[in-house]
Amino acid sequence: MTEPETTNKTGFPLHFKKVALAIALSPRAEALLFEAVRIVKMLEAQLVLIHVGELSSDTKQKLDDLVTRAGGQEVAPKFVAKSGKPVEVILQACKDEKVELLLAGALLKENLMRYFRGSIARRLVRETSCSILLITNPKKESEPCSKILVNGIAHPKTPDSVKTAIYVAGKLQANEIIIADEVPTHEVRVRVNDDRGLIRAERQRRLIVREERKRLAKALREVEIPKGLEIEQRVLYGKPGYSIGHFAADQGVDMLVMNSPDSTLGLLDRILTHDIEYVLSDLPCDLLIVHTTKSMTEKHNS
Amino acid sequence: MSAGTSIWKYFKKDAFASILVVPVSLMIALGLSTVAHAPTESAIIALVVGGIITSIFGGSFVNISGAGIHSAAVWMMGAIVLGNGEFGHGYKLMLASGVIVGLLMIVIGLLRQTQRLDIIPISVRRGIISMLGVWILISQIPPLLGENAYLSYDSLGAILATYPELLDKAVNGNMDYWISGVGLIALMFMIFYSSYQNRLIRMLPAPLWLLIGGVIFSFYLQIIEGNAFLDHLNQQVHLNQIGLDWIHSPDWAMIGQFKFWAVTLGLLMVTLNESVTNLRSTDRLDLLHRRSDINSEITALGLASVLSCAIGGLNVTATIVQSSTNIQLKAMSRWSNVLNAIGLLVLVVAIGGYLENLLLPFVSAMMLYVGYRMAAPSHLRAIADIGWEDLLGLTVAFVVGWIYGIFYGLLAGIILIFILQLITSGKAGLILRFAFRPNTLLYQESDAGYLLSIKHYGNFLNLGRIREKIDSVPSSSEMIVDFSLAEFVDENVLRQLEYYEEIFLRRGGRFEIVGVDDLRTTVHHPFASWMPFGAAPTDEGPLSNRQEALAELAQEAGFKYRPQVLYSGQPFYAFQYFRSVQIEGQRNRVEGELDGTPFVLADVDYHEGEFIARGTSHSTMMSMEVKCKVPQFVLDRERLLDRVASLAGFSDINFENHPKFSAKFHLQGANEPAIRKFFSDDLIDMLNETPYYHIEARGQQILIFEKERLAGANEIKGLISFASELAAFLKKSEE
Repeated sequence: MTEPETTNKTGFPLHFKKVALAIALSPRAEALLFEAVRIVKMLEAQLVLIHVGELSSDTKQKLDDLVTRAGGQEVAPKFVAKSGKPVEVILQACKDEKVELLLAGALLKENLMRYFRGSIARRLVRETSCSILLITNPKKESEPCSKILVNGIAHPKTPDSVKTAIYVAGKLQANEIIIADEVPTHEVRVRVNDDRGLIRAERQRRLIVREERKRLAKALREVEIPKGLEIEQRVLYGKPGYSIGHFAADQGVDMLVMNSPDSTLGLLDRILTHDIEYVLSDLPCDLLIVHTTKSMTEKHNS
Repeated sequence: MSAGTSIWKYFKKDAFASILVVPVSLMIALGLSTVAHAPTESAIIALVVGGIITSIFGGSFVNISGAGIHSAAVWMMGAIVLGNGEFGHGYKLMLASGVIVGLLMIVIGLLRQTQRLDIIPISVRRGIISMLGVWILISQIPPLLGENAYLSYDSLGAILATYPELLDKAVNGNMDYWISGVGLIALMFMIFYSSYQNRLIRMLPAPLWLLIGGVIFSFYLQIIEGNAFLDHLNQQVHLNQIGLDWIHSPDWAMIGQFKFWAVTLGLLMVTLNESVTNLRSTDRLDLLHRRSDINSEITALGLASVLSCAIGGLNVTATIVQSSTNIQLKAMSRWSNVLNAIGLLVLVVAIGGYLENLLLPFVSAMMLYVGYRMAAPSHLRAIADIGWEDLLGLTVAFVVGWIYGIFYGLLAGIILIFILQLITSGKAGLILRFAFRPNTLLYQESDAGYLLSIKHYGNFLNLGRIREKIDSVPSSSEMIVDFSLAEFVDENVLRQLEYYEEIFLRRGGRFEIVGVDDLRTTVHHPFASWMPFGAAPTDEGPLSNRQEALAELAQEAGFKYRPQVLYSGQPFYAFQYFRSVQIEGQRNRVEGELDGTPFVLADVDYHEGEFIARGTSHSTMMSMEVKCKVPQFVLDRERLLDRVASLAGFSDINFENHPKFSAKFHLQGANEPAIRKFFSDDLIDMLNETPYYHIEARGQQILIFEKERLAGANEIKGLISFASELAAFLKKSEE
C-alpha cells in the first residue's frame, strides 16, 4: 500500500492504527469487546484495552478469557490499568498511548435525568482528543455495515470527515456512502407559489446541490475510493445538526460520521440544543466523530 | 411566466368584478361598524386604507382587505370594557389599541413569524370564535327588534338584561312592528338564502339583496308615510358628512393600564387568526393557483391598521366574504383590492345621502346571521366528533374567554389541550423531551419528489415547522409526508395536511400521507388523533384516508383487502431480502390475482437483528407467485438489495445491446446465462419504460417494491399496474 505516504502529507484520511476500548466485566462490555475486535481486525489496527481500577491477577485472567472468546488473541491487545475516575483514566490513557480511535458504548435514547447530567459517553465525546466511535447496539455476532452517512455541511472540517468516512467504508466493506448537506429551511423560501416563484425556488435548490458537489469534489479526488462503494450526495432541508440524525433514522443507515464539535460542550448546550447535541441525545445508529483540531485543518489547508 | 407581464393585464376583469364587490363591501362595512358600536365611517375608512395599502405592500392577490367580523366583535367588547359603558369613549381607546395591534402585526410579519400562530389548536380557535359569535348575537338582537343600537352598556349582561323588557314590549304591543317585522323578515331571508339554490336569488350576494331591499323599502316608507315618520323611527344608518367629521384620533389615556393590554393582545390574536385563516381560504379558491406570501400580507395589513386606526377607522384584516365574492366574479389581481377601495369611496360620496334612509334592522339581520354561523352548534358537533378532548378544549376556551378575556381563553385552551394530549397519548415523556426541538426533515428523493419525515410526534406544537417545510416546496411537485417514525399524530396536523393535499392536487402536484395507519385511533373520524393505543382498525374502520383508498382499489379490482395487523411474515420470508431481518407483521394486506398470477401486497413491518436496535422499518412490498421458472436474480438501482448476501459476490450483468438499461439497473445473479436468456429484449424494453422498481426473483416467487418505505395509494396503484404488466409478460413468454 502506498497510502501511508499521502497520509503523512495531509493527515487525512485518518487511518486509526491504534484503537482503544474501556473494558469491564459486564455482559454489555463483553458484546462491545466482540465489536471492538471485529473493527480492529478490519482496520488492521492495534487494540488497547483500558481497565479502570487495579488489575488483579484474577480479573486479568477473566479479561484474557474474554478476549480469547471474542477471538482477540491474534490482535494481541495491550492492557492499560489505572484507578481513578473513569473518564479521566480513559482520557489520560488515550493521550499516553496516542490512541487514534476510542470505542465506547452508548445508549440509543437517554432519559431526561441522564440527558442533563451527562453520561460517560457524552463526557468522552466532549473531552476526548481523538476520534470516537459510539456503538449503540454492540452485538456478539457479526453484522455487515453496509450503509454509511457522513455530513457534508460547509465547514473546514467536513472534507477530512468525508475522506475518513470513505476510508472507513472501504475497510468495513460498506457498499454505500451518503454525503448529506444540511440547509436551513428558510434558505429556500418559496415566497409566492406562482410560475416564477417555482422556477426561482427550483433554481435555488439546484444551486445548493451544485455548491455541495463542488465543495466536496476536491476531497473526493484526494481520497482513494474503494471498489464497489457507491457515493451519493443528498441535500436535507431542516435544522443543521438535527436533520442528519433524522435522515439516518429514516434511511436506516448503519453508521453516521460527523465532524467533531468546534468547542467543548457544556450544560448550556443541552438546554439550548444545537448541532451534534441533537444526534447525541437521540442516537439513530453507530456514530463516528472524526476528531479534527483547528491546527490540523490549517496545516492541511496550507 | 405569464403572470405580471403587464400590470394592466387583469384591470378590466377586476374592474368588472368590483362592480358587485363594492356594494357588498359597503353593506358589510355598515354591519361591522354596527357590531363594533363605532361610527359607520370607521369601517369604510378601514376598507379604503386597507385596500390601497395592502395592494401596494401586500403578498396576496385577490384578497380584499377591510375590517374583519371577528375583530369587530372584539372591538365591541373592548369598547365596553375600556369605555366603562361609554361607547364613544371606548371607541377612541380602541383606536389606540388598534394602532398597537397594527405595529405588532408589522413586527410579526417582518420577522416572518406568522406560522407560530399554529400553536393554537383548532378546537381552541373554534371556542373563541363561537364566543365572538355569541357576543354578536347578544348585541344585535335589540337593534333587530327596533331598539337603538347605540345605547351604552357597561357589559354584555346589561344587554341581556334588556331582553325581558323587549319581550314585554312585544307582548304588550308597545313595539314598533314595522321595524321589528322588517328585521325578522330580513333575518329569514338570510336563512333561506343559504339553503335555497334558486338561480335568480343566487344571482346577487345576500348582503347586496339586503342593501337594495333596505333602500327600496325606506323609499317606500318615505312615500307612504312621509319623511317625518322615518325620522321618528330613529332607526336609520347614521353617516357623518364626509370630511373632518370622519376623522377621530386615538385616545392614549389607558396605555399604562393592564386592562388595555389584555384587550390589545386579544384583538391581536383574533385579527391574526382571522387574517391568516381568510388568506388561506382565498388561496384555495384563487383561479390562477397562486399562493400568498402570508407574512408580507400581515405586514401590509399591520401598516394599514396603524394608518386606519390613527384617523379613526377600525383595524384592517383580510376578509372572506368580500374576497370569495371577488373570486367568484373572476377577479385575478390586486387591482380588485384597489378598485374596491376607490369604488367604495366613490359610492359613499355618491349615495351617502340615500344610505341615511337604510333601516338598521336590515344590517342587524345580516350580522345576526353571521354571528349565528360563527357560533353554530354544528361546529360544536364537528369538534365533538373528533374527540372529547377537543370538545373540552373548546368549552374551556369559551368559558375562560368569556369570563377573563380572549387572551386568557386562548392560553387556557392551549395548556389544557397540551396536558390532555400528554395524558391521552401515553407519550408524555416523548412529547416533553422533544417539545422544543426540531423533529421534521425534508429532502428530495432521487426521483425529484419530496419527502417530509416527521419523527416522534406531530401535533399543534410542531405544526408551524411542518407547515414551514411544506411551504418551501412548490405545490405542483410530488410530496410524501411520512409518519412512520412518529408515534402520535393529532387532528390539527391532519387537518392542515388535508388543506395542503387539496392545494397540491389543485395545482397538479401530488400529496400523500403515509405511516399514520400503523398507529391506533379511538374515534372514527378522518381527523381524529392517531395514537399508539386504542382499538386496532377493523374492516369497518376507523380507516385512514390511505386505507380507504386501498379498500376502494381492492373493491374495484376484486382483490381482498385486510387492514388489520397480521402477525406473520408469509410469503415474504421466502426472499433473500428478508433473510437476516425479523418480520413483525404486515398490515393493509391486499391479495388477489393479476392475469391468473396470485399476488400479495402489504405494508411489512420488520427490524434487523434480534434486538430492536434501529427501530422498526416499514415498507410496502409485493410478492407474486408465477407459474414459469425464473432464474434467481436481483434487479435494482439504489443497491437496496445488496444485503441479499448470497449474491454479494456476483458482478453486475450488463447488456451490450441495451446501454440505457445497463446504466439504469444493477442486475446480479448466480446463473448468468439463464438470466441473460430470461431478460429478453421485450422485457428490457418494458423495464426501461417503468419507474425504478426493485425486483428479487427466487424460484417461482418475485418480490417487487419501489422504495424502502411505505408507499402512498397512488404509488401502490403504479406498483400493481407494473406487476400486472410483468405478470402478463411472463404468462405470454411461457406460452
